[in-house]
Amino acid sequence: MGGRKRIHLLPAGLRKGEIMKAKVLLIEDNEQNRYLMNFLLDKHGYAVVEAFDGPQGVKLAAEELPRLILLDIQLPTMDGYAVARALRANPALENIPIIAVTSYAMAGDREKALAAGCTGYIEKPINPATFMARIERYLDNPPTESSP
Amino acid sequence: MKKTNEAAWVYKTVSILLAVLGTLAFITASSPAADIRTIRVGVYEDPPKVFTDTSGRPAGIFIDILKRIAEDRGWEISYRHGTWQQGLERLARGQIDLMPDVAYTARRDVTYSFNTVPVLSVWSQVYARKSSQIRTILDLKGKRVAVLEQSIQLQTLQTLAGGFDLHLTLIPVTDYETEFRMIAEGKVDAGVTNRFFGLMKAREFGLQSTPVIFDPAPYFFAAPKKGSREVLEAIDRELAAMKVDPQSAYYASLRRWTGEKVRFEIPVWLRMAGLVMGFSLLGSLAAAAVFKRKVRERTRELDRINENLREEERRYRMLFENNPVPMLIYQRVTFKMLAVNDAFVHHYGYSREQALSFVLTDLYPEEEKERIAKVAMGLKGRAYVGEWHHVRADGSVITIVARSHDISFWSTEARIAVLTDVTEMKRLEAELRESSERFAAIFEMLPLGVCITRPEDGVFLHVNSSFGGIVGYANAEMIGHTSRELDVWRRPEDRDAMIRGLSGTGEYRRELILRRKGGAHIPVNLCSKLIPLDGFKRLLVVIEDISERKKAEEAVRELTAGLERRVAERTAELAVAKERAEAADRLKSAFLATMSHELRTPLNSIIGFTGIILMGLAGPLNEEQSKQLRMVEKSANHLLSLINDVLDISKIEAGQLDVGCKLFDVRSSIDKVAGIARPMAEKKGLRLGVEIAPEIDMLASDSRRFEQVLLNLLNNAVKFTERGGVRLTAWLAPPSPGGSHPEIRVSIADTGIGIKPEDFGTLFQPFRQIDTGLSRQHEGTGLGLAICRKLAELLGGRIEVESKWGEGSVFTFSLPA
Repeated sequence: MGGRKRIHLLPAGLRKGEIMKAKVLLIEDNEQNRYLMNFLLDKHGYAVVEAFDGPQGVKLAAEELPRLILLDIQLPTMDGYAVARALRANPALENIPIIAVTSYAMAGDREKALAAGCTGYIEKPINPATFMARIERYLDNPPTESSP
Repeated sequence: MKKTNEAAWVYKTVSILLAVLGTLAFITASSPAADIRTIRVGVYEDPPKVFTDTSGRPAGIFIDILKRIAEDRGWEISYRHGTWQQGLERLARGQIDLMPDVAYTARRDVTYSFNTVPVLSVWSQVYARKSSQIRTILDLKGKRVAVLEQSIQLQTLQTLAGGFDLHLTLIPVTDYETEFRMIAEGKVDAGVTNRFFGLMKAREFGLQSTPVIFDPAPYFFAAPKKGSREVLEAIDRELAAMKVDPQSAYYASLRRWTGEKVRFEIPVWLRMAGLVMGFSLLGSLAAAAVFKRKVRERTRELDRINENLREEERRYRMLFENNPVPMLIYQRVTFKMLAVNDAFVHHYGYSREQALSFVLTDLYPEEEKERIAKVAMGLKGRAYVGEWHHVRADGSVITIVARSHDISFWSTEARIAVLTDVTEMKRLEAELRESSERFAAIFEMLPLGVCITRPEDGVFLHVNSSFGGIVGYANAEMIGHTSRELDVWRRPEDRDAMIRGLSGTGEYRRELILRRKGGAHIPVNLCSKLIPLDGFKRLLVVIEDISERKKAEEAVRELTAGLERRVAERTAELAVAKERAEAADRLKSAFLATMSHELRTPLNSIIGFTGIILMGLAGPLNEEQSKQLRMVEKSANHLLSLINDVLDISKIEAGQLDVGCKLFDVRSSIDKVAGIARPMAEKKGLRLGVEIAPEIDMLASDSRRFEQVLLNLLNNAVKFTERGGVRLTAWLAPPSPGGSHPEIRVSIADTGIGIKPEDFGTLFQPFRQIDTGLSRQHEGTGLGLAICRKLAELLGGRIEVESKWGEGSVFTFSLPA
């Protein structure tokens, strides 16, 4: 990834299309949560691709090759662990960080998520004041300096 | 020595007799003569008592005496010759008036009358050929023995033979002559005669006397029962007179026919010898030399007879003296003691002199004296057996059985008594009786059923009432019947088994079921044993009714089975309950997980959007909007911490909370927690002092939980304090009592409201935030202290609290260093 171009994240609305936004895949079935995280990411200059369930998420990940995947665990038809395993099964996606964002807060839930292939684990409810700082730790070149 | 004794005995006896006889002589003065009458007298051959002499005239002792009496009384006598048997029959039919020489027996007393003064007392003796080996009565076993028919000897011999179990053959003969001839000719082995006849005739027949001698029998004149007693009474009077006069015809006749001289020792012998000599002289002067020789022969014969008699007398005295059984002889009429034997002296303890100074009744205790006198008075002529008491010299009273019969003792009417001491036997008998009665009482009273049966067939011989009670029969229904007849055995083979069992050890024990009368079954414990009883082998059977015990056992068995069943049921119930509890627990965990998830999802939106808006990301807010949104944020966060606390405590309770163990810097952990709490304290205007001892540094424990506890305690302190401040102090303490490690202690002291003593007990329980009415002022889940204490324990430490209501509290958190 060292050969990748540097991306400068700018406030929304400024010089559209001029700069390639960093792409984040959000796999979340709950509409409110999807909107919340989309809003936050968008405000911080990320391009968000949304998937409503696991299979769609796996498909979009392969097509879009996002910089980061935020993965809910409780999903219809295919749970987050299965999705993580499916993503990790694709060699093209192996270096993309997958952050589990879940309301599964019981003992062992974190370990299960990491074992399924997730890179990080964030409990819901998220704290909007610290959320961005936490996910940007997983990016090579986070736009932290330029965030508000 | 013996000779001296003998002489003394004779002397004493003779003197006594003389004294008595002298007295009697006065009393029995001669009677007036009766009417002249003819007396028909039976004659038979029993020399020398009565017989027919060579000239065909009656002769003998009885005849001499009778002639003398007839002379005195003026009676005419006519003789009827015949056998002994014929004489008795004639007398019975009244064909003759008098029969001489008849022994008294009870049976004869029915048919005949007897005079009362015995004419002669004669011993009976067995004679045999010289070669015979007969020494005792036992030697007569299987022998043919001749005895005078219908005689007293015949009866006696029969009795003796029966008593000794001899099976001898008794040959009745008509007279003694015939008898001796038969013995001599070998037709019989032996014969019984009176001693007089034997002495006189044995030599003539070449026979010999044997030592077998019977009781002496007195011989009387007998008359028909129906006839008058006049003749007999006259004979008695005359006889009594003659017997006291040594010169009387009575003694003359005795001398004449027997040479008897034992009655009056020396004088009689001398007189008789003189008489014989006189005869000889007269004969030699008047008759031929042949006659002289005959007299000499006769003299020699008499000498020999005398010698024999002396020998006999000595023998009988020995028999009396040396007999191991106490014996005495007393005068029948006066009861005067005439003789006692050594055994008497020894056994009774009286000296011979003492004994001989007694009369018979002196031996008896006061209460028996009168009665024995009466009894003894009526004993004449018959044998007697009776039980009495005697007093010994030392005053002790013994029970004796006396057997007595008449005896002529130095021509005195006497009785000889043989005394058997039965005191010990009586005592034993009484003891035995008492013991039998006692055992009978025990037998009857026993609560156990006891019976005695015949082992061969099971016939009941004795049963006690308990036995009857158990098997339901009355005793009378059982005695004489077999157990099988009564159907007592439920199975007949049970009795067979018992009999088989007894053949081994002789004892048998078993629990079995018997059948009661009417058919009901009864369980019993049966013991039986073969025992000897009254000379027979008997079966003793003891049964115990164990129906109550069986019932109790059955009840216990049922109870046990019931208990086991209930235990099994309860165990099954508990297993179900446990399964349910586990299922409920799983359900609770699932419920908590789901609730946590489902609550977090909406909270995510609430907290997330609130935060975004407050950050101004959605546009500018006015003052009021910011204020209200912060309230929303605060409530949402409270809800979130409630959810977290509930999760924590249920994880701890389920044992699902794992604590880590890593080295961390205690000082920086404390600083971090204080840093979090400080803004709130400052906001309330409280001082927050932190003092950490220099020795505090690293600790191996779970830093996150350590911080959680401290933060909770610190937040509480700030929350419940309005004035003053909160002070946190950390130091290293020596090991607590019972511990081995030093401890890190962190105490958090406040100047807050404090805790009432009655609230200490519930302080650390979940949802027990102390209700002071101020609860609304002090927000919190009510789970904080409960979680703190449990976490402290999980980390191996503890939390202690001191407080004074209204002045403040100190919470101390200790952990092993």
